[in-house]
Amino acid sequence: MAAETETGSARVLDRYQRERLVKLARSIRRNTKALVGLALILGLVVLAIVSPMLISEQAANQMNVQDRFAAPSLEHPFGTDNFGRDMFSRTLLGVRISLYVGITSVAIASSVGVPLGGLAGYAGGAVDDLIMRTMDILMSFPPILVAMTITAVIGPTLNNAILALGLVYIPYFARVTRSEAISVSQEEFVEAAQALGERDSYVLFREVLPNAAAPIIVQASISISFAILAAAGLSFLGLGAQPPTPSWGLMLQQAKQYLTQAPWMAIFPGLGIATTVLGFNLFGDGIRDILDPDANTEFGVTDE
Amino acid sequence: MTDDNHFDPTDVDRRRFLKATGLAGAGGMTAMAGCAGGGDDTEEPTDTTGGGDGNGDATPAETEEPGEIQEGGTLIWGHSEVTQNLDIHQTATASTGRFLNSVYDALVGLTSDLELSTDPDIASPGLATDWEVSDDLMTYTFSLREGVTFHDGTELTAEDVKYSYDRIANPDTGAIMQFVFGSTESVEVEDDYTVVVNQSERYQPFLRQLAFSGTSIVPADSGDTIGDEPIGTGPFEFVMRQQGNRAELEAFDDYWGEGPYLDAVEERTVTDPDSRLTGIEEGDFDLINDIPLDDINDVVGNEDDDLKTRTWSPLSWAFLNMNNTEPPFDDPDFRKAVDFCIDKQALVEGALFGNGEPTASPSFPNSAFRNSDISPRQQDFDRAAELFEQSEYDVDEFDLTFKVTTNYPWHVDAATIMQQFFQQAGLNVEIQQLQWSDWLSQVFANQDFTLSMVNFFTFWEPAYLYTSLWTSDGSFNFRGYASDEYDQAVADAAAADGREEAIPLYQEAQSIIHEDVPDVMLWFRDGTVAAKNNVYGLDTVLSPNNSELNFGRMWMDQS
Repeated sequence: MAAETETGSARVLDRYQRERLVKLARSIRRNTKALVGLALILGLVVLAIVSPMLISEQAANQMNVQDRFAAPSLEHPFGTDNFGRDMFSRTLLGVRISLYVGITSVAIASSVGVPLGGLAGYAGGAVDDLIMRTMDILMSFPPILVAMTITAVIGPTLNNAILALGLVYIPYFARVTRSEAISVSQEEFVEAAQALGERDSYVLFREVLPNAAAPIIVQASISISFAILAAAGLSFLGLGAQPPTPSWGLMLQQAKQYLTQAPWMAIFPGLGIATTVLGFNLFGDGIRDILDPDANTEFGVTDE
Repeated sequence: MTDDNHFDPTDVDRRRFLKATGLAGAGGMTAMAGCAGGGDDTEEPTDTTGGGDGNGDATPAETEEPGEIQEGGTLIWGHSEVTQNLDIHQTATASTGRFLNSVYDALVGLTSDLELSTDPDIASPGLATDWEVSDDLMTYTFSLREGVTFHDGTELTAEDVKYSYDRIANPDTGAIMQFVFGSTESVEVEDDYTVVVNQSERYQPFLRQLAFSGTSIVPADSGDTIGDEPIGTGPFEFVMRQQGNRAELEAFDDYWGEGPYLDAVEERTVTDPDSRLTGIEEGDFDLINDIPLDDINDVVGNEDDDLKTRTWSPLSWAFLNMNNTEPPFDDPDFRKAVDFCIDKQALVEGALFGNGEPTASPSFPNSAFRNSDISPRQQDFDRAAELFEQSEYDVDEFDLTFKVTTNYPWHVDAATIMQQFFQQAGLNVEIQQLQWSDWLSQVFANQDFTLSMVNFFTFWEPAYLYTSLWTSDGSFNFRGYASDEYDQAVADAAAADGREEAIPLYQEAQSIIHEDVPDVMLWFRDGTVAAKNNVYGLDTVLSPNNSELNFGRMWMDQS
């Protein structure tokens, strides 16, 4: 899909498809979960864009040991941490890092997983077996464990954690895409394209995958929340973001030592993670409800 | 023998110091991982001829004690670190020494004033009842305590001592204390209870280094098994260990000395400081070492709660490690500039919550060997800028990685603070947190680092401290510092006629590293233990090396 929009947006968004999008949008509006999720996500995106403009990272790292463990007040709405740093600034800057982690790692996972899954589903046979059995093997390890191992080997940095999570989530995208690709491949328009003598790559990327998009979006949305949680976990273990990066997972790691005297050090980054994860989960759930086979007709879009 | 100890004001200072800080202890010696305390130590040559000087200070009076000592009970100890290799000769970490200290005895006893002694009633009693040293320091004759039994039931004889020392001296063993026997020609058994050590050259620190717990006596021919099943002559015998989780010690009924009073000691590895404190507050542990730094003042100051505490200084000293073998830290000006960037007092406040103090020398504050003419460099960004300018590198030409271990969370905090200082000076530094085992393998073993920091415990002995840390082939010189001048000073000190001659040489060595700045000395950190109110003998638990623990004289009120 990503490859698609670049080359010929006019062709991709023909009238028919535009109509489908409008219908999808309408269904989202009618689905509370999706709507709330979307609102949360949009709110966070705005924060992620705006807060770095208002707060410099340097200011958020500014230490003032005399002022450590200050409770939330007008001056420091979220209190201060063990170095006397302003938790409000740090929590807000954490939004951008959290979204960056979630979206980038899912982008990595989907950019590999989707074509692989599509190929497996479309080609079938030995190719399918080879790809999917490999994915099965990868899936048999707990994702967080694999991610920890990878970051421990290639070095604990935020970008390495993202890369590790991206790799870990590839099989999930491959699996979802494959099953969708199998059903889409049997559609008449795919047969038509094949009959017209289009190359397989054209059929896969232009016909099959774009029409398998909806469940992938669901998978992406939910994976983003998983990735954000996992990245926070890695940072908590010292394997992700490194100090003084204002990452929520890292803030929780530091807060852990001071839970009794400065609970706000944990509460606000914790709320940040919870809100973000909730947003993507609700949105993903909502979309899945909309796509529920009982309520839908073609390509997963409700049509009344 | 005769104990003609000279009156030494520094010793008195130390005694007073320990009393003032509330803890006199018992002990042995361990290194790495936080290792050693500074070299003070009183190894006057007079000690070498004199055994049991009756320093009564070794068993400090316990004012807290309600009447009779009670026997029995299991003491559960919340231990701050993961124990590593259990082979007492090979192990390099303070954590293992802290655990094994109750299992082993060294040949030479050490009082809490760091004096050598044959008295059985001292903080860290030794297995020798007497020793004679030839005037040229070339022959040492030790008489062994009779009736000492190993945990496997065999009796201690001169063969065991010879086996232990030969094993440590053998390079294949990989013993941390191998250097102690670097000048030893042979160890000979004269009779069952007499051992003679012949030296090939004069090595002035020899006798006091035989008080290190790393030179403890193991049964003959036990080398292949003591890594799994430690066997010593101490008050407790080893039962089991699940590494990183828990371990058990059991009272040894045939212990040659007084005690033990407890039936057993159960070690629980709890590296998270807050879990330790919560654990003892909730009653899961009877004793913990290292109270969380931010809570020390609450816990120590509060007499109303159910805990009693002891604090002492220093537990350990910490330093910033710079890889001297690669740019930019192969340039002394660059290193000194980094020193000028750091406000050490701010680190003590920010990372240790004030529970420590900056230091320019790793020797204990009251040590006779300490060079008191050097002091920590004050933060001065102008001087730093000049020195960066003067160095062969540009300050902004590097992106440095600062590897710091999460084993000591306050090191991560210190690194975070230093990173801000470096940023102000225009030096780009990124922090990388490492698990303890990764830190040990990357930084310590493979020298794969640019910037790092660590702390050492138990370095009470100057020869060991200054040889292992900074001589060009020192076993803990993972920063790759190499200075002929320094090596010479330390070598001269080791070959000196005696303690008085060695003192100025060790002080000179400190001046050299203060000017060369192979490392930036950061702080001395205070030590703490906390115990439930029914635990007694807290004044006896600390080793003279200020780090290791000995449970032989602790007891619990079980009523």
